[in-house]
Amino acid sequence: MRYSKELLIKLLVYTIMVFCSFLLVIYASSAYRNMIDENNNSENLVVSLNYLKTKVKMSENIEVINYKGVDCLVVIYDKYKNYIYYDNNQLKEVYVINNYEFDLNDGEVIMTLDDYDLEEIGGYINFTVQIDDEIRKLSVNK
Amino acid sequence: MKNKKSIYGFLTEFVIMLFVFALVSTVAVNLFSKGKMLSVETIRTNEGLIVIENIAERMKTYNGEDLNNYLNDFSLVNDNYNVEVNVSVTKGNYILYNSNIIYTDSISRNVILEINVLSIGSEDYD
Repeated sequence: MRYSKELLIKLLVYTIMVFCSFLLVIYASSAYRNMIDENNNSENLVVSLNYLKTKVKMSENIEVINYKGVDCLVVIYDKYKNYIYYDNNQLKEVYVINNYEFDLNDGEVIMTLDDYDLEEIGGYINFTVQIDDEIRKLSVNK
Repeated sequence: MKNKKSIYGFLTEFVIMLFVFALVSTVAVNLFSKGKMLSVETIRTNEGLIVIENIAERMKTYNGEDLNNYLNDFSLVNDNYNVEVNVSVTKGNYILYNSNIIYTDSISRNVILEINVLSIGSEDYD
């Protein structure tokens, strides 16, 4: 009887130890996940803004228009146009032959964002992107 | 007597286990804190990249205006960073403005990013 009581105490101590280790692993994995998420968000914001900036810088003819209620950045080439716009929490782009009426769902997804804003003020195109609480703004000279 | 020995054996084993556990935890926490520091540094660098790109875009069209008014729209100093813009002027057949933009961490005072932007002034300033 005494022997089994000792064994029980030993087992209890080991169980507490294992439980604490388990909690530590859960906490560590959660901290690691948060770290990776923060990094990913930061990278995605920079990548999306740099993608938009590259589009503006590479293009000789670019304009901001409102298409079906959505502000679009339009890169105009000789025979086709490249529309970049925000729809259903996604930054999308589509290539269409001049004056072709496309559906906003047809676009190819560039990046998933929580918010996006586009405005043209005095020769500058201002982009605002948001993922979670992180907001980044970039002003690009046309 | 036998019982005491058994308890001492268990305690010794337990203390060794705790020691190993503490050792592994110390290494793990150290690695995590280093990882966290690198992550924060990367986020700061990314933030700095955008801030500096905004200012560089503006400085590309700089033409000798008052710098404080010219960069009025930008927040050059906040809790996380400090941006310093220095402009040097070269006069020849035309006027050339070389803007040196330095992005510094507010806490560590380390320079995270530094770029130079050139802009050509109008003949009015020649």
